[in-house]
Amino acid sequence: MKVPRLSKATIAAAASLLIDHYESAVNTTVAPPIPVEDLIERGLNLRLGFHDLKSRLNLNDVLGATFVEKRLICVDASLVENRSRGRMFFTLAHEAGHWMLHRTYIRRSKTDETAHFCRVQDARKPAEWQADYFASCLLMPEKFVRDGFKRVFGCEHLSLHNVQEAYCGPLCFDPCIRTWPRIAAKVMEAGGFTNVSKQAMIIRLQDMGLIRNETKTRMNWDATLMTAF
Amino acid sequence: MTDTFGNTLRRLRLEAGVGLRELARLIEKSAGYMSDVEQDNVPPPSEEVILKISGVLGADKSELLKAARKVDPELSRYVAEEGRAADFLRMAKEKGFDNEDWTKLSQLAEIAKLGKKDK
Repeated sequence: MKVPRLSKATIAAAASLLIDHYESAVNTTVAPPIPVEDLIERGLNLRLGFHDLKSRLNLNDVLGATFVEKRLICVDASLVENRSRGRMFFTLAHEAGHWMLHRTYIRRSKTDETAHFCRVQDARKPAEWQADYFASCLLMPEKFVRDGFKRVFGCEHLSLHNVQEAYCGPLCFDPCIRTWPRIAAKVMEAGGFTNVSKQAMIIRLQDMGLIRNETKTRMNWDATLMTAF
Repeated sequence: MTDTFGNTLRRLRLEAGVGLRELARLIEKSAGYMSDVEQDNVPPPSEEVILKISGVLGADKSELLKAARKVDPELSRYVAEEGRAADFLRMAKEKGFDNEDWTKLSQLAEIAKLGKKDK
């Protein structure tokens, strides 16, 4: 699926719009944990499905799917297990992103079902990156992330340095990798983000500039490597 | 025309403010199965499960049973125990009662009960 380039601000605004629409439709106020299933069902008036997509679609790396004509969003049933909860909510929000940002382009696609299947192998494609960023903004709205962060770490951003570099050389283990999940867990606890993974929160905190990875510049790691654990 | 069971269930569930996974958990079914039920990919569940669902949602059981084209087990027991009720239903089936007939019969049944104390 070919999609136009969208700025982060545009995608964040789309996520915010969905929350605003849901709040007025359901007459409620949303705060973390963001009720993504209800946002999909009552905010977007779409159906939800938890199916064995891998078997049904015969795709071994599919995580979610958006069926435009059927107005249906599905996630693979394997994600419903408790250990994958963060991933399940993120996939649901990701599919909501496809609906909000890409449904016109899915309709134009050549598939019979006017559906879009999200596969791990396509993660770096523009449509998938946009849906990922939408999911991140939807599940972790900037205001609430900043509030949670401020409660634990104050107003200043955190700069993480690789202090072991001086002793071990450029190939040492990065202590930040051990520190980040702890930082993420603190912010999640303070902000009530119970339906996101630590990995998703780390990426969000970096994107918002609340934690800055000095190690990256020192070790010359590229951005994709920094989010790949 | 009666809506499908899946549509009826989804409407009642959303009205009750219960999530799909939450409902599945409360009635001890898988979320996958319940989404298949709501999408009418599989036949409606058994009468017992439907009664459980209506209890969890605080919804009218007869609406769900009707959408599933199933009979309330309590009613089935009554017909089985009350021979004349079964005879009457058999006659209604043979004569092909239509909507108008049933409305008149319901009215007659109400009149027949007038002046008698409910059990």
